[in-house]
Amino acid sequence: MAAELLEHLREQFLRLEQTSSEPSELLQQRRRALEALLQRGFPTTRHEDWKYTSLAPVLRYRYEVGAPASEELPSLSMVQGLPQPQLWLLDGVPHVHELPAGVELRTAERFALNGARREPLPGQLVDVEGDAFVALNTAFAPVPLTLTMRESLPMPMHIGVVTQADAVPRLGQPRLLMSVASGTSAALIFSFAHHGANPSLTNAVFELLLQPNAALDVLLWQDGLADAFAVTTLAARLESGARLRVWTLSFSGALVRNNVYIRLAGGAADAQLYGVTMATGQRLVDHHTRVEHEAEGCSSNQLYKSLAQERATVNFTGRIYVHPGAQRTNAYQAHRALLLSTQATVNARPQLEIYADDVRCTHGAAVGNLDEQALFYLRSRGIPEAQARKLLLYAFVREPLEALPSDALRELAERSLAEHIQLPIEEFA
Amino acid sequence: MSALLQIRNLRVAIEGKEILRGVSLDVYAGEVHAIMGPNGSGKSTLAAVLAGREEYEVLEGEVLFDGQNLLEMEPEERARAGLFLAFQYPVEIPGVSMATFLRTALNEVRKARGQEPLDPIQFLSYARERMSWLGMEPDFLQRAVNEGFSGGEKKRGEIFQLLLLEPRLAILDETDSGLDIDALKIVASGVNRMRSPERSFIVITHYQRLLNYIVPDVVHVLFDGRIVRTGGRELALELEERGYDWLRSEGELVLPTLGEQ
Amino acid sequence: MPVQQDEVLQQVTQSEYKYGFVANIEEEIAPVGLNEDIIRFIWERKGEPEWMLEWRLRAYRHWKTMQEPRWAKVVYPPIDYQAISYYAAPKKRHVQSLDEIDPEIRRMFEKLGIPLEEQKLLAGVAVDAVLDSASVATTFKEKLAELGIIFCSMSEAIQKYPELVQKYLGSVVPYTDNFFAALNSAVFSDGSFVYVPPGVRCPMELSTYFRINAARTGQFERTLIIADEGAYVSYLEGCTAPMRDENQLHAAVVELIALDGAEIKYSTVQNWYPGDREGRGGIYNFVTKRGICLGRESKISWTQVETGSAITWKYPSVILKGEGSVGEFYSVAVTNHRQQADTGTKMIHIGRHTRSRIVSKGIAAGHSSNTYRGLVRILRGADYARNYTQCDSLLIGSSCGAHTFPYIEVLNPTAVTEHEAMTSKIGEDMLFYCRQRGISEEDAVALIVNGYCREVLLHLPMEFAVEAQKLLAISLEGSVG
Ligand SMILES: Nc1ncnc2c1ncn2[C@@H]1O[C@H](COP(=O)(O)OP(=O)(O)OP(=O)(O)O)[C@@H](O)[C@H]1O
Ligand SMILES: [Mg+2]
Repeated sequence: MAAELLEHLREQFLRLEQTSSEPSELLQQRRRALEALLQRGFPTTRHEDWKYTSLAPVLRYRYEVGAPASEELPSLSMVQGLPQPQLWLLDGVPHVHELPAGVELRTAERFALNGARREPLPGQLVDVEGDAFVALNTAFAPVPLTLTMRESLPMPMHIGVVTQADAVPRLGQPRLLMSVASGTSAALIFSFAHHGANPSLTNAVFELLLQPNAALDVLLWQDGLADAFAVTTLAARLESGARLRVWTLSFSGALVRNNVYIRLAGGAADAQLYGVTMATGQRLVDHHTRVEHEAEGCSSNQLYKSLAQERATVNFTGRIYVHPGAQRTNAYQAHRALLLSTQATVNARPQLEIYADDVRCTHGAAVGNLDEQALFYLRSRGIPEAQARKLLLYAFVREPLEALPSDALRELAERSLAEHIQLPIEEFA
Repeated sequence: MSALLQIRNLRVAIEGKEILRGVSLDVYAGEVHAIMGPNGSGKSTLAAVLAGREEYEVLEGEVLFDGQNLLEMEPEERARAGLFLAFQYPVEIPGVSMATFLRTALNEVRKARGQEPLDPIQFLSYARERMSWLGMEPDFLQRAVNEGFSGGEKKRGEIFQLLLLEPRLAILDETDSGLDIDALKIVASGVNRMRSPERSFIVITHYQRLLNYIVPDVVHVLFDGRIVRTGGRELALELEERGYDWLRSEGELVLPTLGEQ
Repeated sequence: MPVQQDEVLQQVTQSEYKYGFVANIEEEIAPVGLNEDIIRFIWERKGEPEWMLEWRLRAYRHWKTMQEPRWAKVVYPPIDYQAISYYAAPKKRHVQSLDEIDPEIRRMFEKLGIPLEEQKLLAGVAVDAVLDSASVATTFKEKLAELGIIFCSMSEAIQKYPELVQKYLGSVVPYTDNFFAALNSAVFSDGSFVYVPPGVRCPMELSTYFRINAARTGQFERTLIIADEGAYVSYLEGCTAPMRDENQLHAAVVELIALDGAEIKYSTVQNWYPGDREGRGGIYNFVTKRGICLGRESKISWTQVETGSAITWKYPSVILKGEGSVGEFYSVAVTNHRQQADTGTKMIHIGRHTRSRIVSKGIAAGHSSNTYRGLVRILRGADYARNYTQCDSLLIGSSCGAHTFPYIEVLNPTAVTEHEAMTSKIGEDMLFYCRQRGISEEDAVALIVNGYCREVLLHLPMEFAVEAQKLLAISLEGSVG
């Protein structure tokens, strides 16, 4: 199965390579990535990083990698209540609606321009050859982009990530290298959607560079993936004093893998990762985090909350890695899950790897069920059991949303969460 | 005779901030000195530097304890030489019983004095006697060091250690705070019991009330890292009445006067 | 207990490994290398029945198809399995009574603090002394036999109780389990065997003392403990080895079986030679320990204090099959200098209402690496299973590493699992407080570490707790200042 897909990819690559007009450096990088992928193949559950996530359902299809024929924007409604995206990434191809002031978007052709403004190739923060999905993205991403934020953004910028599989199974591969200028602040919302009757795999690679004292909030809003597949790799490097917060709201998708890799490279940087996961049906959601403390005096915090219902699986693997010399590190991580059905599964691997002594690192992982006493309390106040149950589920899982940067965003996220729990929204007004 | 403790123009900084800005002080054997002063004036800093906390940076000055250069000694050497600090915030050490901790400490101190170590039985009877002076619960020795102690219990525990280790100079950092009035009397009686012509005390406090029970020979006011006033008991009463503001207005002009025998 | 803790601190004076001497005992040593002939050689020397040879050969053939595991967080050069001798036993060991033991062997064990005369032994502890590949003495056998308790060497058990051995040997750790278990099954030469009959509470601690003496040999012992219905036994294991520049392999297998209502408490104080400061020499301790709570309401409890070995690779585990059964794991692992430990446990919940508890304290100093690795698996049918895990690590100095890799797999919605872990350095405030009272820095570290491990040490039998505390202090010498 995987072999067939790999062969299919290889053929497509050869075709694309012939017609490509990209700079040779970029083309060479693509070829190396493809070769690495072909050589290593896709990971199996024997691979430690994929121990609990079998890719078999994803690798069954022969995805088309090319951009769709129609360049028109489909009429998509993204997350309800959010303003329309200012930037669309349709199957990885950018469509600019309107960029906020101070934001600059450039495409691959600029990477290898002669002269002074030579840009680094994408792939500085990710393992281009060792990680199969990064390799896949590097080989095929139709338009690697850089997005530079030179000024603080007053409002969150919305980016719609859509993979369209109307006629054939499709592989949508956005590739974005983002840079936030020193001392500025911004918020980015990525909303994910699948479109069409065929299966799709969205394989996004986002690299983030936070200059000294930059502050960035990122929301990965996975609400519109329906039964599609998605692998998202978000890798960030924080310079001194930079602050990054990432929320992963995983409410849809048949198999979703979210890799969040953070490097705290400058002193006193701070990263906060939050996750809210609702897994129902046969969904599998797999969160992977790695927070590396490379410099002194940095802090990090991870708070993930998950619900696993019906036949769903939630996996969490989170690593705190403290490098030698990263003294005065404060790192915290927690994954708490409710396992709500006899067919559901939760796997957790909280990990600490520590090579400096002046640290305080903690992690916790808990799996359990609803608090029966709380349930009884609500029922004794006249709330029907089903309703009480949902209320408690909602109360349990929403905690990571509390820190969202604005009330409006928080309300939106809460509303969306409530819908997935099938609670009438008035309950929360 | 020279003073037991001689502090000369001590300047101390932490994290680049100068906290003690030239403190000089002589404490003779048998004397009780009280140090008062507003929050943040550097009282605990002075105590910590004397006890040998390493995060403080000594910028200038000299401290002699019984003629020895105190600042060059390791904390445990100071303790063995007879310097004792009753901590403002005693730390909890989970899993280590008071008995183990104190017998280890006592035998180290005894060794330094050329005395035989106490075996467990001797230690118990020695410790129990002193516990009774302070009206302490018998299970005290079995509990882990300061773990789960109430504020008052911690303070009483510090005085108990003082009784046990019989230092030559005891620095009490706000040992009265958090004590109810009965406990205060007990603690004071414990201290008074230890008063002798060979033993000196530095009592750091915010309340002149304590000084009703432990009557000082000298009272100093530490203000913004300097001793701005030195007087007798009545200075404490005056401070209680007038606060520290009047000293602020006199500001830097007030020269420190040294306590003299 | 506090009183003894004090003793501990006073004894922390000499920093060398105390047990590093070599005794001059005449031993028969198998030719170096491993092949089917060697296995026959071992089998013959031990005069075992035919079925043992078959079992050994099957294990050996399986082992040849296996790869040495490399997933643990330990680094060592490849082991040449053909450069090891797989059998070494004292020549004079067939004795009728304890009085006939070779005086040289007796002297050696005495030097290790294990007198082989019953009257000199700690009251309430029966000892099986294993030297290299052979059991040399078992004390209090007769007394235990009166209660129907079998406590003897594995060799003897194979001869005398073949039905029991055949039924249970390899039933918890099959030879296919892992590389080292397969190797052990092929070449193991001795170890201890315990059977406690229904309803009997073993009145004394049973203990095995393992000693590696010969050079260039591996030690592969095998322990099997069966607690029949309603039985109770507490078992202790201790070990030392001479200081040698080469690394020596120790690959033991321990199997525990608890039937209905039975309880087995297994305690280890592991003090194999850890190698020197630069990491030369020391034991490679690659051990498979596993118990099964077969019966309802049965209980298996592992307590370990790991201070020795150059490399430790060990995960004492419990399979919780019987309804309402309980598994426990209490561990202190100390690494200093260049030691590496990758240790933890597995709790496999199969039965309903099964409970497990894991308390692990890792202490890393020097240039060492200390890893907790654990698995808690709650299977679909394990209704109302409970697990609580607390694993903490303490770092002393900035050149060591402390790591925590738990795996938590939950497939049952009525189960509750909780895992907490914290890694930090020894509190500066605590150290200062101790020093202000006159306690030296090194003693203060020992004191604080002992307190930190107290919850685990409390689960050791009294005699061992004192020993363990001393060991902790000694292992951490030279780690501060
Ligand atoms: N470890 C430290 N790091 C930074 N600043 C410190 C530290 N310790 C003390 N300081 C600062 O030094 C100053 C003096 O503190 P200190 O504790 O000596 O005051 P104090 O006179 O004892 O006050 P109080 O009456 O409240 O106990 C304060 O401003 C305090 O914030
Ligand atoms: Mg103070």
